[in-house]
Order: sequence, then C-alpha cells, then structure tokens
Amino acid sequence: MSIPRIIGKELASVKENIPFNLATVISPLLFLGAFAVMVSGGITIPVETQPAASGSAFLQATEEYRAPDGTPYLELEAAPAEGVPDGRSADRYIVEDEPIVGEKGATGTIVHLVNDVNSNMTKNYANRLTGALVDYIDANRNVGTIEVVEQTRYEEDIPWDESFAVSALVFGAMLAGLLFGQLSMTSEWENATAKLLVLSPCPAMYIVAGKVVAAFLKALVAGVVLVGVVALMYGRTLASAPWLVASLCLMYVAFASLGLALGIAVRSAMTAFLVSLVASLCLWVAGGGFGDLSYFGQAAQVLGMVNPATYALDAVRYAYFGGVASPTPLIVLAAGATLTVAAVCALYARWTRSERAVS
Amino acid sequence: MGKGSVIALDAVTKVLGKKARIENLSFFCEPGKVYGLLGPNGAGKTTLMNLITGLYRPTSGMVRVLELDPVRDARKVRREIGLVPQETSLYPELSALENLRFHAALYLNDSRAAARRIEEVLELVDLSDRAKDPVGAYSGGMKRRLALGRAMLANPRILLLDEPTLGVDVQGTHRIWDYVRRFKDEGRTVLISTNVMAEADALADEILLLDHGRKVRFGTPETLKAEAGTTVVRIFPAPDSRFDESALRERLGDFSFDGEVIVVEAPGGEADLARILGLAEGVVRLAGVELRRPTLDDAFLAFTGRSLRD
Repeated sequence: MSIPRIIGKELASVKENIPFNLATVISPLLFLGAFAVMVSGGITIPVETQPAASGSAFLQATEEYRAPDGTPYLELEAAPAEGVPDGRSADRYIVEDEPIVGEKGATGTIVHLVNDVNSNMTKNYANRLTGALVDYIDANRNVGTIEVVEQTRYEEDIPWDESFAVSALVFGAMLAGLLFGQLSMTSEWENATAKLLVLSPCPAMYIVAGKVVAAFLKALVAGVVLVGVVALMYGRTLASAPWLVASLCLMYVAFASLGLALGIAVRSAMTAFLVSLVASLCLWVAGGGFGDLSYFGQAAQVLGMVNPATYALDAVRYAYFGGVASPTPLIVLAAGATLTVAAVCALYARWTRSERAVS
Repeated sequence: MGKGSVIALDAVTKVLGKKARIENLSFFCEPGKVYGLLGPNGAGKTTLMNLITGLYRPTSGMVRVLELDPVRDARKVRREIGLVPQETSLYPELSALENLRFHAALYLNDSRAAARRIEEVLELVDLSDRAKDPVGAYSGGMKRRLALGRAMLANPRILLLDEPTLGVDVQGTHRIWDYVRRFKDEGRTVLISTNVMAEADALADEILLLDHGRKVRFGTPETLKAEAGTTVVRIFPAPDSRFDESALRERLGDFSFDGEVIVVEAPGGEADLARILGLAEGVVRLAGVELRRPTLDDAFLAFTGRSLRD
C-alpha cells in the first residue's frame, strides 16, 4: 500500500513547484534552440582572399572544395584592397606565391590571417586550409597517388545541428533525473515534513522506491517532450527505438536516484535547480556532448571512462544514427542505474538513523 | 525504572557537540495522563522529545518507551507515537484527505481500515466538510487540528505535542484542549511541550520543568505554584488617603507597603480575604482589593530566573 501512495503523493506535489518542473523541460529546449539558431547558417565558413578567387587557380579550386553532400566548406570573397581584418571580419588567405604542383614537387606560399578566436586554437587553425591544399595537390600531381579512405562510425553524414540535438537529449535527461530526484527531497525540507518521514515506521526502501519511481515518471514526461521536439525539428527515423527507450529510462533511474541522494543535503528548490544544471552540464561536456572526447587530454579520457554521460551519448547516438553496435553503453548504464538505486537506499536508511537527520 | 511507565528515562544524559543538552534526567510517564514539558529556550525540551522518539541515542542512561528501546526497536516504537511538530508539517498543495492518505500509507497496512480511520479522524477534528480543500488554504487553527488528526491516525498510545496551539485563536485553542482531554480519557499518554503557561495549567496532570538540560521541578501545577509563592491579598488605599501603619500592623500582623499597595499573605485564600478586610476596616480607606494566587508564570520565573535565553 505504501509505495503506490508515495508515488501518488509525489506526482500530486508537482503543483508545488511548477516553475522548476517547467524549467526542467524548457532549459534543454532553449539550449537546443540556441544552438539551432547558431548553426542555422550551415557549415560553410566565410574567408576573405587576396587576390580575388578569379586571380588564382588555387583559390578557384578551393571554391570547389566541398563536403560529401555538396556543401562548400569555404565561401570566398575578395578582401578589401587595404587594411587588416578587424574583430568582426572573417579569416583571410593571402596567396603570396601561387601554389604549383610540378614534377619536382609542390611550391607556394599562403599567408593565413587567423582572426577568429576559436580558430586560434592549435587544433583548429589548419583544418580547412590544410584540407584544401591536400585536395589541390592531389588533383594536380603527375605521379603517385594520395588516397584517403575514411571509415566512419556512422554510415551517413550527420548534419551538425541534428547531432547536437541528439546530444542535447542526453543533457536534458540528466537534468530531468537529477532535478526531479532532488525536488522529491527538497520539498520535504521546505514543508518541514522531513522529520515526520524519518519518524515513520515505513521501511526506508519503500520511501526511496516511491520517490525514485515518481521522479522517473516525471523525467519520462520531460523526455517525451524533448524527443518529440527533436522529431518535429528533424524528422529522422530512429535507427533503434528500443535503444533510445532503454538508454533514456536507465539514465532517468540512475540520475533520479542520484538526485534523491543529493536532496538529503540540499534543502531548497533553487539550490537543487542550480546544482542539477551545473552537474548535468559538466557531465555532458566531460562526456563528449559538446566536442569529441578525443579532443581533450589524457585526464579527460580517464574521467570519460567513469562518466555515465559518455555511455549515454554513445547509446543515444546509436539509437538515432545507427553505426557500430556495441552493448557496452547499455550494460554500463544498467549497472550504473542498479548501483545508484542500491546506494541511495543505503544512504537514505543510514540518514534516517543519523542524529543529524533532523538538525 | 518506573514499572508500568509508558515513557521512562533513567539517569539520561545526552551530549551534542560539547554540550550536555540533557543531564542526568530521570522522568517517568504513566498511561492516561497529560504531562506538560516546560522550560526556557535551550532547556532541552526538543532533545527530550527526540530521545523519546528514538531520533537521539542517549549518551548515558536508559530510555524506554512501552518497555522498548526507541533506537533499537524504532519501528515498533514509532508506530505507537503520534507526533504533532511545531511547524504542523503538512503538504500545502495537497488536500487534507491526500495528506492523511499519504500518512496512513506510512503507518497502516490495511487500505480499507486506513480509509475508515481517515474518516473517523476527519470527524474527530471537525474537518470532514473541508477534507478536499488544499491545506494551503486552511487557517492556522485548521492546520493544527489536521496535524492532530494525522497524529491520531495510527491510534497511538503516546502523543507528543510541540506547541499545539501556536498561532491558534482562542476558540481553536479551546477546541484543541478538548481533544487533548479526550485523548487522555481514552487512556493515552500525552506529552505537551509548551511556552503557554495557561495551557500547561489547564491540561497537565504533572509538569516537568527543565532548565539547562536538568530537571528543575516535577509535580502538579498546584504543587509548583505553591512552591513559587503564597496567595496574597493586595489592598489599594484610596488616593490621597492616609492610614496608621502601626495600627494596621497591630491588627493584620506582617505586611508590605510600597506606597501604593498593601500586600498581606493569605494562604487561606478567600477565607483569609474576608478576615483581612474585616481587620483593615476602619483603619484603611479602600479603593480596591485583589486576591492574587501564584501562577505558573510565577513558578516558571521563580525556578528559571528572568534573564533572556538565546
């Protein structure tokens, strides 16, 4: 009798914190919306050139340097005759000596004025210009061959914005689980009902089960909204719906449990919201949500191995884009969910026996 | 330890941090009685309640509730205790019915019996017709009554009430007092922690007065009041009148006069009042007379002092 009634009370208590419940659903959507606007211009990067493209065979070839779907990587426009790029200008390619590919080798000098702060990063500055140069040399050599064969994890080319949307789903799932889990305890603190809960003869496990299930159900509703919005925006057919359901559900259970454990210490809804937001954002970035994990150093790689977001991202990306199937992400998420539920049961039971429970 | 005691504390000390919140306290409660728990802020009232409910383990000494250890046998003991905390601790967005159903789920196993009991409790506290309204819309008195009803859901043998009439109007207060008397008549043991002396005076069979974690006094309200002082007659001479003090002393014996009021001890109460007035007649022109008995406030201040507590 206890558990269903506890679940019912937790679900009815949504009325108590409607702003935070809504914020849980809206925050990832805003995140997604902002990124969608940011990448709405496509993947083409504008570049100023000296001379204009018509004055250089290399620059003309660069105009035709395209992604597999035909989108040009670079949009060339002639740089002003005088002056250096200001903060708002694009990067600039200055062809000082026209690249020539001859029998005795390739020669040429190109100056790349790197204006964008992101391009200034060591790993970024060369990528497109280098690609254009390799492409040009390959097209003009007389002997030998340069063949680059790519074996991609995913069968088809994935648009950047769609990839980010799927990644944002994982962020939303973690946020929802953490926040709803915490709110189930912070409401007890704010209503001064924690003492009565501690003093009840109901086994701690029943209370934990009721709260985790209720938080899971609320997170599920948030998840349905997010998945629905992504479906409306991109209309992609899932590679594996069961994988998506399984990975999101396991995430909700794990993070709702973790949130409940945090809620024993966090006594206000506002703090719970901030903690959930910061924690889920950090886990998401550190798991490769914003940039590939391979971009980061050794320490990040090690942390990534114990970060549930890493496996969640793999699982959800497979669910959407297919590719290399591996049960590892789901196994790790299932193990993580089991461990967090067991841990929160033990922690809650211990807390109710602690003298600090109601101090 | 007190045999047959519902609650028994035997030489209990409880240290929290570096401070002894309860020091060498022995205290026994019998069934079917109301006990008042009084004391200044920081006296140890909340610590005592936490020891009884098993939230705290005693540093030394022994606590027994219904002959069980409230820490080791927490689940059994907690089924027999109904607690009304100072904050009422209700879920404001839920109705009274939903609040009670949730609490019943924690305490009762049989859902049908729980439903019947909820109806009984709502009747008991006169909230049946507002049962479906959100508790957030209730007045302070209604919330207190609901909290009392919730404490009664599992038919506990012991009730712990922490400031049960805090913020409640006079009508509500007297209604809650009626409930407490009813609980007592049903054979339950009630422990009321209160700062309202009138409440302790009206309800308590015996009072435990704590200060700095120690038992200062334990006894009936009358005993405590008698220890604090004696009944006096206060005579107010008419303004601008004079009287012969030595002549009055010859008649009345010892009295005090501060220039405005003549105070004479009157341990016999009304009988002494009539005698004193008879003796004073002709010597003092009276503007007014008052028979003043020591109150529980007097007792409280006499035993704990007047300095403020943090």
